[in-house]
Amino acid sequence: MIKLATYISTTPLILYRNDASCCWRFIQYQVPLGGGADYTHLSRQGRAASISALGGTQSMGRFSFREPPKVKGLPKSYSVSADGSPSMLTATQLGRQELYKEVPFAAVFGLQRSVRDMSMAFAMSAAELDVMDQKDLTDEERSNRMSRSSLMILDELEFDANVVTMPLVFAVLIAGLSQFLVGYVLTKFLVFFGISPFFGKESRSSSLIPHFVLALTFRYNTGVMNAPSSVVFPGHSTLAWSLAVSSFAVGGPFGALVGGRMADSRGRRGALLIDTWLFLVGGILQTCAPDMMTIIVARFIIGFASGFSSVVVPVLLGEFACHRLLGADRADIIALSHTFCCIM
Amino acid sequence: MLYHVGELAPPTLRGLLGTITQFGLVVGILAADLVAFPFATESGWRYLFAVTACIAFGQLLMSPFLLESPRWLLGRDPNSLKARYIIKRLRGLRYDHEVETEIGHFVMGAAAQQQESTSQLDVLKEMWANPKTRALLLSSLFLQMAQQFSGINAVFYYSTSFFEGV
Repeated sequence: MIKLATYISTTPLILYRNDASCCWRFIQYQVPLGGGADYTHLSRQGRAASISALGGTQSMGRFSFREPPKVKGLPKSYSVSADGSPSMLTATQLGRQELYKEVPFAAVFGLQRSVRDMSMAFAMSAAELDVMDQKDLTDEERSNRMSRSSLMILDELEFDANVVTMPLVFAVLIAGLSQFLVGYVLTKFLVFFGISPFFGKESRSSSLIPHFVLALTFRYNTGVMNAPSSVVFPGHSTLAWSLAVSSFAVGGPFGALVGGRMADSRGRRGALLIDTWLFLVGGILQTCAPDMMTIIVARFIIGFASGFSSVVVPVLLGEFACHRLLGADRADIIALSHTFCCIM
Repeated sequence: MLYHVGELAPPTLRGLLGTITQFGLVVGILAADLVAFPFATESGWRYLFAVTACIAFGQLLMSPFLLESPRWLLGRDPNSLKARYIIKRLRGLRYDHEVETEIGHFVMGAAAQQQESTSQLDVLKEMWANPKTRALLLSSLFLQMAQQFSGINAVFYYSTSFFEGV
């Protein structure tokens, strides 16, 4: 119960992070329990409201109906969702509708399990509540069941929660820097730096809501060759310049290939450090280039490093973020195909 | 990268985030061009290229703050103390049992992934076999190629040369 009480103190946070109706429902049941009041009162109130909305009456805690709702084209039965709102859909349809709201999540590999677990927890808890409503249980047993089912949901929510800590912020920043160099996207910041008006005692923020802080996105090395084409070694041939520009793209896929292997053998951090050294060497070589040939080689190295980091950085940050996401094997294919597309 | 954002973004924000990503991308190219304004001279172009090296150097200086992926460490050795330390710091946990729960999730996730992992070729074959997903596959390939053939990359790389000829 103590654990439960701690959880309930963070209830507003949970409410904020899951605007989906399922969680709201959960809160509806939670609040009276946290206050130590009779929880059945509230749930009955909800049911009474919905029954009267559908033309029914409630007597002695049992439900009887003046007449079943007659709406053409709709099934005769209806269900009452846990927050008391009536629906003409059957319970299965209601569940399916709820699932469709979440389909974008459910369709994504890695989040399927999360959605399934969550809906299972909710369904079980709802079933328990229904049983409790009807059976005559002692107060003690009732509160035991209540806390057991709530804990199950809370465990799920907890499982999903992300915590923003300083070490995390630093790690993401440093890893993100190489994305600046590549020239791809610093969107990784989306994942971690949430602005959430509710911060719990341990500054827990949600895993989903705060993913949307503005991304600072740069594409430095992609764009940097545009302007100086006439001033770098004046008199160079167009062919030499085209080679210098495109060797960046040629290096990419090789880097992506090597990067995936390195991330597995050397560790994500080790691979990222190798990558940074590559950037440094490429950058210095390009800066101190004595002729056009050196620039072409340096651009190739930078392109290689870019492909490398486009594999390593998402993997590293993804693994910081959430254990349900993917490892190197898949990310590496994705980055490879991305790079190939860019070259085409 | 976009894939990653798409995976983590809530559905209501996914469109916005995708747009912001693209927007940020061109803002980055704009930044490179803005830096080029003072430096795109016969004497100054080396500074333009030095920006890359400087950032990489700064990154190396900050590398002590970069943490190893706990998942990789656990994949090598499930009893790794280092991984436990990193998880504790990363997640801001206080108690050891919380850390152990988290590690249980990591190990479970890795096991589930090994079970689920299929080769990429099989996935492609499967997508090709189903008429519904085949249309999706083809259209996404076509869109990517059309984007490249539109010539926007030529503008990114060579617009200066184009305008010199005008």
